[in-house]
Amino acid sequence: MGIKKSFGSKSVLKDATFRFEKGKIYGLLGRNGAGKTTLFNCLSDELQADEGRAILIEDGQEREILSDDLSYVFSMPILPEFLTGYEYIKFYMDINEDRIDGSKTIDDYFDQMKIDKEDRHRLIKGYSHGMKNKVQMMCFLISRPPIILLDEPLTSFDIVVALEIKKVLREIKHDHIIIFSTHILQLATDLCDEIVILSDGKLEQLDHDMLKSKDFEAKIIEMLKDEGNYD
Amino acid sequence: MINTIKIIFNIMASINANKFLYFLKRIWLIGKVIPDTIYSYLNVKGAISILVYISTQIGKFFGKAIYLLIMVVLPIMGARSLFPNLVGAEFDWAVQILFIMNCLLGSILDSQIFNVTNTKYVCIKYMNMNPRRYVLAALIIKYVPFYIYYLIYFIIAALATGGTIIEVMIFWIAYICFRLLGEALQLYIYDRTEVILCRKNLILIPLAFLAFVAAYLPMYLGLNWTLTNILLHPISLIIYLAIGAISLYYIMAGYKHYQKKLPKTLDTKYMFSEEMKKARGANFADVKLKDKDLEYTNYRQERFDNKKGYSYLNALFFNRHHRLLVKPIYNRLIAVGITFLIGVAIYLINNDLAIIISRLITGRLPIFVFIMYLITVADKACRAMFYNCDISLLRYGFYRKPKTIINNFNIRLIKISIYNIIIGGSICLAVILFNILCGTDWLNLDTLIFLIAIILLAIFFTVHHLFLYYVFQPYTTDLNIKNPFFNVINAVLYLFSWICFQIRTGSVGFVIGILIFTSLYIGVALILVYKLAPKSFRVK
Repeated sequence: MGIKKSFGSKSVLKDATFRFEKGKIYGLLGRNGAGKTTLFNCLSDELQADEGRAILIEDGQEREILSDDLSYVFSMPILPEFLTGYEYIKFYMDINEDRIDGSKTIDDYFDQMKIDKEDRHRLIKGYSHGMKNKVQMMCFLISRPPIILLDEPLTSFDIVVALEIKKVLREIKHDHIIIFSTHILQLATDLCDEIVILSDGKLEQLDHDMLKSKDFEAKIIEMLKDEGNYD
Repeated sequence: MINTIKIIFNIMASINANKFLYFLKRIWLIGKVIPDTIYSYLNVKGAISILVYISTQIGKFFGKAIYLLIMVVLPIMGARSLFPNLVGAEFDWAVQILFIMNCLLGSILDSQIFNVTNTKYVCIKYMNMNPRRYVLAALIIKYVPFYIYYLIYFIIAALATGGTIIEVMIFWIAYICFRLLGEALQLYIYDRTEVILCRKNLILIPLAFLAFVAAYLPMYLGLNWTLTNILLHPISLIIYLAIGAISLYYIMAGYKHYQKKLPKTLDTKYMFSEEMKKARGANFADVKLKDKDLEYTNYRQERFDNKKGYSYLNALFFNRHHRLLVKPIYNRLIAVGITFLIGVAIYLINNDLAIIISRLITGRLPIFVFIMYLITVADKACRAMFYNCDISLLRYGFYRKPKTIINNFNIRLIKISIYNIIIGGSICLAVILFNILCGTDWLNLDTLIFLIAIILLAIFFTVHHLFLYYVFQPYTTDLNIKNPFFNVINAVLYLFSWICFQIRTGSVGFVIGILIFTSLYIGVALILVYKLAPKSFRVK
């Protein structure tokens, strides 16, 4: 059964069903208020779905998704501001020590994310939006969970960093299911292997051939227009 | 102008109606019946806003009666019963008191131009309404009913005490003119110095003190002299009118910088509405970290080298909260020390009294229940944990694992218990030292039970606040308190502690009751935390 979620009388997710596969980056497209963040919140157990649940199939075995299986990068990064970036990552590596790549040090991860040496030891409180997002992304590089959810993450990065992050995501995608919510069409077509549309509370995959077609944009807009969600 | 007043009324109406419906929807059972679309029923909202306005005005009307009763009627009746020579001069005294308290002090304490309300914020900040037009309209909206209500009471008071209608009218005009002067003066001072007088407590408190002394002291010394004759003299009336006219001109036309300067004065810190304050996180204002809180860690970095995971996280947390959590402990220790020194002074001055106190002290456990309630640092610690740490980390699945929640709880329980036990221990030490000083026998069962009770109370109030925090987790991401049980349980405990304070003397039964109650509460609360917190400890 798909995931259902309502807020009061407003039904946001109506039987949202989909099968995501490892090794691919999925772009989740939807209009404002379509329920992209609600879907992510239900998957990550931030919100309790009214009905339905997500299942992880690993080596042919079905099981429920546990908190360790999933890393969720919020569009508005939320981190404990009383710590420095370095301290937070040290803490995060400590609590994930049984599954981290032992050959890498804290500084290696900071280098990978191109965070200056000085900034590592500043309080997160003083970090910019983009910097906080980088710290959030370091977490999935460290814990390498099977599922990575990114809620409109690249919008806060400048073009240089955005390009780097795209590179990182492409590098790691073979070991993960990466779902990437956005309403920037170009980003979705540029980075994602598949596009999934969330419309009228349901998930629908776009035909792969359509991605390359000339009137792709027009078709997407036509599909999304039918929906009655406006902000 | 009428148009501006209309707009302001409409905005006030919308805010009030929406607020009312929002609260109605949150009420158990009733809330479920009301549809989400209720906000679109404009007729219902219109009716609600009228009802809200009428009830507010009724409140204001009777509020003034209560004010006059407390500030004028009761003090005069009190003085009259003490000093018969004041009989017959009630009207004079009423005028004098009101002149000092309302015309002089009130004009400085209160300013309609500088007060910050929800409506004002919306109109000026969000809707870009012309600040001058807003101010003038707001003055009319506030002061027209304000002065009508007062006039009614003034006339009633005059009829009851022998004043004439003319005298009442003169005083009423004086009141209006002085309020205008107050508004104009505050505006002028702000224009020249950027100081908003009605927000300067350092100036206001001494002034209020002086006003109280001037208004009531002569009367309570039995001196029957008032300046009412001068205050109500026709020449004074001319002066009032002149003051009022100049002030009114300055407010309406003389002052040119509303547009430029007034929006700067709209600091939400001074917002009157409690709801708005809460919505903006005032509950957590005292647990905000400052940059200097990090400095403390820098020279103690080596302390954290051997820590890992959650103990590392908590060590850093408590270290960075040194100013917020440890300093208050020092302050409490200093207070205990000073109290002990006062005891020593009593011993030196009046030996017998000190000995009596030392004998009684361990029998006065009920008072210490209230004291321990007041001096616990657990409440503040919980708010700091939420605001600076859990509000963000609880968004992550790894932090919500049942094992992690319990592990974290244990670390915090031990740490905060130690904080509170240090305070409780210092009280115990001070009591023992005082008994030794006075030569009172302290090596007995009573004292032992007293000491155990103090330490148990220290743990009890730690467990209590952590229990409420972990099981009810009352705070929302908007920093509001959402869970009604949290407030109810907290209020019950406060009441219990306060009643204990009133009992003053504690029998053996009371002491044993406290021992059993606190032990049971600690046990039950811990079991509930271990059972419920893994599910309940979430950001709402």
